[in-house]
Amino acid sequence: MTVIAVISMKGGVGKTTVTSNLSATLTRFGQRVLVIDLDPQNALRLHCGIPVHETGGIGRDTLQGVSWENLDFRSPGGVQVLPFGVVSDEECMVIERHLVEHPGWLGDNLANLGLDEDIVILLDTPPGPSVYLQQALSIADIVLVVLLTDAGSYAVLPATETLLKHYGAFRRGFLGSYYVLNQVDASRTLSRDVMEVVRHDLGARLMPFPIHRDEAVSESLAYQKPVLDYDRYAQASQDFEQFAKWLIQKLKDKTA
Amino acid sequence: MSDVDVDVKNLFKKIGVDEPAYQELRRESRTDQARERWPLLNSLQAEEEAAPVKQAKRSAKKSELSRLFKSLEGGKAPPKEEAEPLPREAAVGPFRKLPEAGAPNPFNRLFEPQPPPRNFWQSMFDKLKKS
Repeated sequence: MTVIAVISMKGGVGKTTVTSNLSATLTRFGQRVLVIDLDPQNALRLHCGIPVHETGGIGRDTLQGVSWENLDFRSPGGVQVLPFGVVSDEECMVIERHLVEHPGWLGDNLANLGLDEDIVILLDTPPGPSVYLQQALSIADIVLVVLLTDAGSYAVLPATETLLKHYGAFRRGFLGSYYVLNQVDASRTLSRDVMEVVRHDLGARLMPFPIHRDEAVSESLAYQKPVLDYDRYAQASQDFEQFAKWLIQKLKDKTA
Repeated sequence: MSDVDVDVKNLFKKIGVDEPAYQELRRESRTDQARERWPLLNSLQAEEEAAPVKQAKRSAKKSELSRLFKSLEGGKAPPKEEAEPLPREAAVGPFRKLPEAGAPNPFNRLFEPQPPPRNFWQSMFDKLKKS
C-alpha cells in the first residue's frame, strides 16, 4: 500500500475537497483507493456521499478499543471511506491523548486491516500541527500540501517546510512532498502573481496542474458527488484528471 | 545556450553589433514584478534577503528557502556540505527557526502541561486504557 497524506498549515484551503475529488478520480482510473478522515470535524463523509446520520468511524472505534475492519463505508463512486465518526469534545481529547501515548496508532491500525500492496490510502488531516498530522507524516510515502494562491498561504510555506523536514522527509522509501495549488483564478492578478512566485521557489515540487476555482466544485458537494460525476466537462474535472494522472505516474515511478 | 539565446546573438551579429552581452532575464523579471506588486510577498522576500548570516552562506541567486525546498525534493538528503544544520538565525527567513539537532519533538509542546482532567473524560480514558 502507498500512503499519501494531504496536509496544510492553514484551514480553509480546500483540503477535504481536494482529497475527496482526487480519490474519486483515481478510482475512476482504476486505482483502488481507501480514504481516511483524520480530522475530528468529520467532514470527509459528506464529500463522499456517506449518509449524514452515520456516526461510526475511526474515532469512535478508537474510543471503544476495537479494530477498524468492521467499518464498511463506500462512496457511490467506489472509494472505500473510513470517516472519523461523530465524537464529543471530551471524547476528542481522550482520543488525542491516546494518540500521544501510542505514536504507532495509525500505522498499527492500517497494518491490522491487511490491505493489498496496490491500494492507495489518502489521509485527510486537520489544518496545522496536531497529533493527527504527526501520525500521518510518520507513515506517509507521499505528502501533498494544499495551498491557495494568496499571500497567507505563501507566508506559511517556510513553516510547512520546517515541519516536513522534521517529520520523515528523509525516511527511507519516502517519495517526496509536493505542493498543490487550489482554487486558482487566472483572471486575478494576485492569484497569477502568487502562482509565479511559488513556481519560482518550489520548482519541480509544485504539482504542475493547478486546480482552478470552479463553481462546479461547490455545487458538486451540494449534490454529494465528486465534481467529475457532477460535471464531466468542468474545468475542475479536467484539473483533477490531470492531477490523478500525474500522481499515478509518481506511483509507477515508485514501483519501478 | 538555448536556441533563443543563439537566435538573439545571430540577430545582433546581423545588424552589426559584436558579442552583445545577452542574458535571458524574462523569467526572473516576471517573478520580481510579481513580488513587487504585493507588499507582503515583497516583504517576505526582503526580510529573507536581509538575514546577514544567510546572505553569507548562500550564492547570489539561491536563497536558503530555495535550498530547503530543493533539499526535500524526492526525499533525498542534500549533499553533505549542504546538510549541515543551518544557524538558527539563518533558518528559513523570518518565519520560523529550524529545530536544532536532537531538539525535542515540537508536537510534545502541545501536550504539556495538561490542565487537571475533568471527571468525565478521565473515566473515558481509564476505560480506554483497560480495553
